Amino acid sequence: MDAREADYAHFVRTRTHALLRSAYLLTGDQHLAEDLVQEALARTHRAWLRLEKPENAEAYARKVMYHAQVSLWRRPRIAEVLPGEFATDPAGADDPAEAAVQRLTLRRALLALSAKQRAVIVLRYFEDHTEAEAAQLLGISVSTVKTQTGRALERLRTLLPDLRVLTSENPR
Amino acid sequence: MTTPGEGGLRESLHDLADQVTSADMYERAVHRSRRIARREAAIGTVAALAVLVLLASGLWRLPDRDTGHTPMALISASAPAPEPMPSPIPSAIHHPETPEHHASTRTTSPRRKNQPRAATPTATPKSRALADLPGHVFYQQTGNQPDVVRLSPTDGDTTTVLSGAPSAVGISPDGNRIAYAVGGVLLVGETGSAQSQPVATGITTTAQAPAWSPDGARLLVVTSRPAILQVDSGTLTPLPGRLAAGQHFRWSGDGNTLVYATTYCSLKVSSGESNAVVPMFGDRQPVDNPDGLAACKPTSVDVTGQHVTVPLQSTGDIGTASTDPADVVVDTITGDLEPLPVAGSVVGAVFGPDGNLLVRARTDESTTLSVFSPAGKLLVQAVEPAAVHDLNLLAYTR
Repeated sequence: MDAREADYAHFVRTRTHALLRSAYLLTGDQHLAEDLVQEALARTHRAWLRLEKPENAEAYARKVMYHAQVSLWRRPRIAEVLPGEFATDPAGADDPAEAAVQRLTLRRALLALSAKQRAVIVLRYFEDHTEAEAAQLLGISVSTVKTQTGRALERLRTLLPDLRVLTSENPR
Repeated sequence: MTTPGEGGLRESLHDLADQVTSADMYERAVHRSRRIARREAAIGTVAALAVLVLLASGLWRLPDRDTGHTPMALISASAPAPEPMPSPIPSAIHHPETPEHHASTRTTSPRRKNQPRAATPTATPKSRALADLPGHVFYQQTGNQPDVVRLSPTDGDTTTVLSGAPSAVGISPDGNRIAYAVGGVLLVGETGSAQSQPVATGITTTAQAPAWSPDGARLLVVTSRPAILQVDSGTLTPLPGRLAAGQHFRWSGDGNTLVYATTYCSLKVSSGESNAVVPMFGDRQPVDNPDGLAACKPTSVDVTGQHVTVPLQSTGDIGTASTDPADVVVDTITGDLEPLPVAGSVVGAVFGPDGNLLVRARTDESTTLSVFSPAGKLLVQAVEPAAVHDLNLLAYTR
């Protein structure tokens, strides 16, 4: 293995988990997340010589990942989930079983969003990007990010009326 | 970012993300990468075979594009007659074995997404003397308020023609005049002269440097919208509405075509009633633009509008026009990047008003200037004077 390939292997092995975490939120599924990260890492491998610094590689991989997700936006893969299916009990949040139920509920609520809305939510509230950074990464305007974020939060509030995670948010 | 202690969406998302299981993706990613590479190679091979079949069948004689351009309404009757269009595939047909013909020769093959560039042999110039380099080359310093410098290849002299340019500048095709704006007032002066004349007001240059028409009689500028300024009379004629949102317009050498960028860094080609998009650039769909290429700032166009020079950018740069000089030549029909048969890294590329392409390339040892004819012949390749080493290529004029 030459030095460049070794660098790439190091990059993959140190950053895959972080990429998978974002991909899991985008897809809601371990296998789909792995597929998405695999595509992003493969494209990064193809571009490796052009990426001068390792930090560029992760940015590039994330961009590919989000754009690959964008390409799926128009495919209606996820069935619409009705608000009534999201009844939760916030009082039991400290119970491990209840916590698992809440995670499942949040995951299903995220999947009920459009892929674009899901992407802006993950970028803004999970990766802590600013609106401008999210816009640049997705290749859309800041106003579109604002619009999609607002709609996504509104939709989540509708889907999860009792879930405490949406009671107060203050992203960058 | 959520405030500390605030149980919020962020915390819940992290909690949910913790559910993902780690996986070693290295082998899978490399395997997938190799599959992509094989697919690209296969596409390239099929495209090459298609071209060979096309050539063998003689179908190349069919025109590959509408050559009957309707002159734009804004073109004045005094504009020079269009020069003959280069043959669609000049050297590939007539001189396939001649190294002097660079690889920018055209084919009528369909757009080949993801196709890697063919290896590009360097060409042999007719001359290696700087004095044989036709025309003048203009450079500018990097940074704000740059000096604009003219290189006269005949004697190798460099002259500062404008000190501390207050805005983006436009050099006339004959190299004798320079246009720039101060406080919204467009000034035109002789290159090298301290004198300049105001010719228009309300001009902005952020999204449009003053762009001279091939006949040197008009300037494409932006006031409240893009418009054509008749330099002598000061008459402003807005561009048609469909072009109102364009930026960084550049004229083709025959004056029949405008190439410009959109705010989303795609390229468009406007000719007569046609307003075509150059494939791929600025496209956010990875399947159509796998490398995420964008072109936010065309800098020059060949005679017919079939090639344009741009600084290559990525879709992540959308909204930011590069301050770098153009470094690639784009085929406006296919969106392909034309291989440039020069040694070293291309640090500048610009078409002259007569369609010659000037390529500035740098190696560890030196910087060279290469001039290719519209037919792709390498006319001159000479070492650039050291005096302009730290400057950026700006324009190539008569």
